[in-house]
Amino acid sequence: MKMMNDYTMEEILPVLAERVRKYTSNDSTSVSYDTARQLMSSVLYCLQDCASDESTENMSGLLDVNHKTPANEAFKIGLARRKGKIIQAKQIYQDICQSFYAYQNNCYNDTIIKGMPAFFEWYDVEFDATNHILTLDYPLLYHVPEQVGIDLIYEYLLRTQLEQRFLNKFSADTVEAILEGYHKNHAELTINICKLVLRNAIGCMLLGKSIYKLTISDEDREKLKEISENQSIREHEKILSSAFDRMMEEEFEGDLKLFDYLNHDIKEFAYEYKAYSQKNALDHFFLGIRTEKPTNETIFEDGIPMDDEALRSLIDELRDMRFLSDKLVLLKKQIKSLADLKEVLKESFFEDEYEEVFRLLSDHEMKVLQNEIALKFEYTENLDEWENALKSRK
Amino acid sequence: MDDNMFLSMMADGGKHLLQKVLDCTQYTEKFGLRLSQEDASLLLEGRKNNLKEQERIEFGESILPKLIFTFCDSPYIHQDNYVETIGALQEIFYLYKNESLDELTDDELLAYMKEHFDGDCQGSLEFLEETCLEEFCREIRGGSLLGDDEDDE
Repeated sequence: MKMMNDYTMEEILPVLAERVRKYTSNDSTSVSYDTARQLMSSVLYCLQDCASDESTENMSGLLDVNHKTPANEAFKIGLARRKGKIIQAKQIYQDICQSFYAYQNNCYNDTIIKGMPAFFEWYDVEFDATNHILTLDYPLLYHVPEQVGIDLIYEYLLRTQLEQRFLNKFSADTVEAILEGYHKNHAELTINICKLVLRNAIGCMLLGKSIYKLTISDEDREKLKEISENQSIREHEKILSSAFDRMMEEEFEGDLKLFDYLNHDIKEFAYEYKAYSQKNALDHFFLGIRTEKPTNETIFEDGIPMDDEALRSLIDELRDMRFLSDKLVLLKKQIKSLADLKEVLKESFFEDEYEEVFRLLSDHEMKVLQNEIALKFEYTENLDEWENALKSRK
Repeated sequence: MDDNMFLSMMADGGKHLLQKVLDCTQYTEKFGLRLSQEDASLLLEGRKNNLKEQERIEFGESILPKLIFTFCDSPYIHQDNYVETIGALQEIFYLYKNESLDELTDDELLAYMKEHFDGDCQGSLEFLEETCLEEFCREIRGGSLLGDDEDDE
């Protein structure tokens, strides 16, 4: 029975049995299917590493084609390599942490600063090598395809390092300003910051501006729209590629690794640029500084409610009063909070008296009560008499 | 990886295991217990079914010889009920390996089973399975028996 990498089940089984013995410290002859699955995937993961290397060497003719490393040996080599990769990943992570900046983005901060140490603490390359523990929520500019375990984390960190290298060239305030332009709650969004900055920087290159200015004005957008007009996608991509090449050459000293990585975005960039331009929506694409003032949100602060005993005696006193006018005078004098007013309305006033009480309220107080009633109605549909009166009030 | 793959893994080593189980007789004979080839095959067939039922897999060694060595001196096991009892103990063993969340080693579980089988169970497999082991494993799952030796003192 062939399994993978030219190793048969008969060849892999002794390796798995050895791993089970080690996993159980020879204290158990049997393991559950789940444990066996986990151990088997770890074995195959390490064999894969060794086999992929062999095939590369074979292609270059360095290895005798008839030679095949025994499964046990191949596993040990693969495991040692994975362990080496963990050390390398730790080093990359330490380098990243020295200058890491999350630009207020919670997801970025959580993934790199809070999450990553958990990986290094809990990752088990010996017995659970394919489980990389983290969900890596922060999206990269170019995601790591189909990798698991340390391979995925290593690649993720390498790419994060490149993105940080790019972002660190710009002033943090400027980056945060364009993020603010993208969305006022940018801190809560799961977005790739590098992509937004890269596109604005290339936009600046196209305009002949310094890329470090980064922000794009309405006037700039008009020019950028003209650039994209009457161009096919292919021509457009060429223009962007050329601006990108110039930017990398002039500002990033031809950093090849960074060039290769960021270059992955150019094709998608060209398509999106064209699409946004055709829809006259470049303001959502090339970002500027948000100029709109924050909306005037008013916050209602209720007064201090009475203590229970005082409220109870007020309710009793109001109930005993004969004339509505006297009740209203006492109400105005004693009630300082909507919470108390609601109690009093419920206990001491009657159907034809509600309207007079409502007239004492300001528009704002009325609005707060109406909102509360609407919310209560949505959940319970059981309203008090005064609440129904206010709800049906025109 | 599907479950059939595990079952095919276990198919290997059948003859080797059969011989190991038969070899136990050299030791158990002094307690008046013998296994025929048919008995041994029956126990190994039971092992296979138990492992399948409990979704467990054994590599190389089987628990069966150890189980036989542990229980052969029990006053409640005679030639008449030998195969039947060992078969049932084997089933109980795999069940409680799972129920204890693999927190017990083979030796710990066997020692507990033997102590209670010969002790308060007085040879009752039902009492061992449904009362003693059930309570024991419930405590293990609740964490009161593991990692808190100091509390027990």
